[in-house]
Amino acid sequence: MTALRSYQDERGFGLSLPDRWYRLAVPPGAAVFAAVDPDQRAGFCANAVVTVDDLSATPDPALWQAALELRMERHLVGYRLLDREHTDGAATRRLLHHVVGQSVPVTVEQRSEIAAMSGIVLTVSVPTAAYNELADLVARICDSWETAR
Amino acid sequence: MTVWFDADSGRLRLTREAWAALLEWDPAAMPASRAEHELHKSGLIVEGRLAPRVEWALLTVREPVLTITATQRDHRGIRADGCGWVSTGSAALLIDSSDGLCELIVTESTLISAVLARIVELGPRGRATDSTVAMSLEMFSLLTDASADFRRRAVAEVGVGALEPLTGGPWNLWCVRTSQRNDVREVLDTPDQLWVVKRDDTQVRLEPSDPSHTWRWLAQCVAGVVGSPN
Repeated sequence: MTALRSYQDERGFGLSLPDRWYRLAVPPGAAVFAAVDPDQRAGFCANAVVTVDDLSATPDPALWQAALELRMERHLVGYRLLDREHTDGAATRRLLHHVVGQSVPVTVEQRSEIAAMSGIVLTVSVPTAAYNELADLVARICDSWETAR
Repeated sequence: MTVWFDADSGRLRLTREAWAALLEWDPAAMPASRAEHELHKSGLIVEGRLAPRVEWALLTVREPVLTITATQRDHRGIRADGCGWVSTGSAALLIDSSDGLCELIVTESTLISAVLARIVELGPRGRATDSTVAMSLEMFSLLTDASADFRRRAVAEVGVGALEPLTGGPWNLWCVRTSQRNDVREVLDTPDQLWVVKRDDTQVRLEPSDPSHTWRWLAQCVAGVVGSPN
């Protein structure tokens, strides 16, 4: 079983990722954390990204969650929302699919929730061609996800 | 019109008869049948050459690494069956459409799982139950009959609340089968619950499932063909 390493972030979230994945520097903006698998599979490097939206002006969780989906629908090529569960109050789990680059299909597992007037999103992306092998690892990563709600 | 071809998008819709004529098409021969004339008139064949995208698809159809059959039938009794051919680089699917024509979908083989998800309209569903339901083959036929009255009586007989959406719909009973390892998945899809259908000689078992597990199955059923992970 792949060994995971724990990350705790001062912005109020924590998660565990495979030892081999390395952190990337992220420029100022919505993304506050990014880590990537150094090995490419089926034309894509699996990765995890955390974004934080300031919701101090629009604290309606339902609106923010819906806007998040609209944003993905508008910007992701070949977007399809495959599954959605409301796991815990304002927290939502999503499974979705889109295409990057030269027809490389990507499967995305996502957790989004409101924490301290911020909309915080964990997005784990893996190549669809390797999804069956990686699905359990993706689930472990997402199960490790914690926020300071 | 039995053949409809849009050269800009590459979209091809045609009758089964015209599809058969397309498979037999010989560039050296003069068109003889009505279907062959329609193929020419549609703009699909120009100066003795097939549109490149369709030519590409026919190469896959003639030498597939994997074949797929898909059947689906909804609460209105409308069927939308199809078959697919997958090679290492490309894939083609021929799917029934509601007007009696078929549509040829040509795509990269890497995208075949996504195309199948679109065809069966895989998307968020409820999780109404975690209990498996078993019933006779006959009762399952009545539960998914085109007659709403039969369905209502069958739902009452089975007495499982999570099957209530079958009375009014919408629902979709679909099955995807691939030639690779003879993989097959039959799904009864309702807004409240997605069920995997398991059949034997006497019984049907409806096992509660969800779109995430179904996507995992769709993604793996062609994985060995369209490029194994490094």
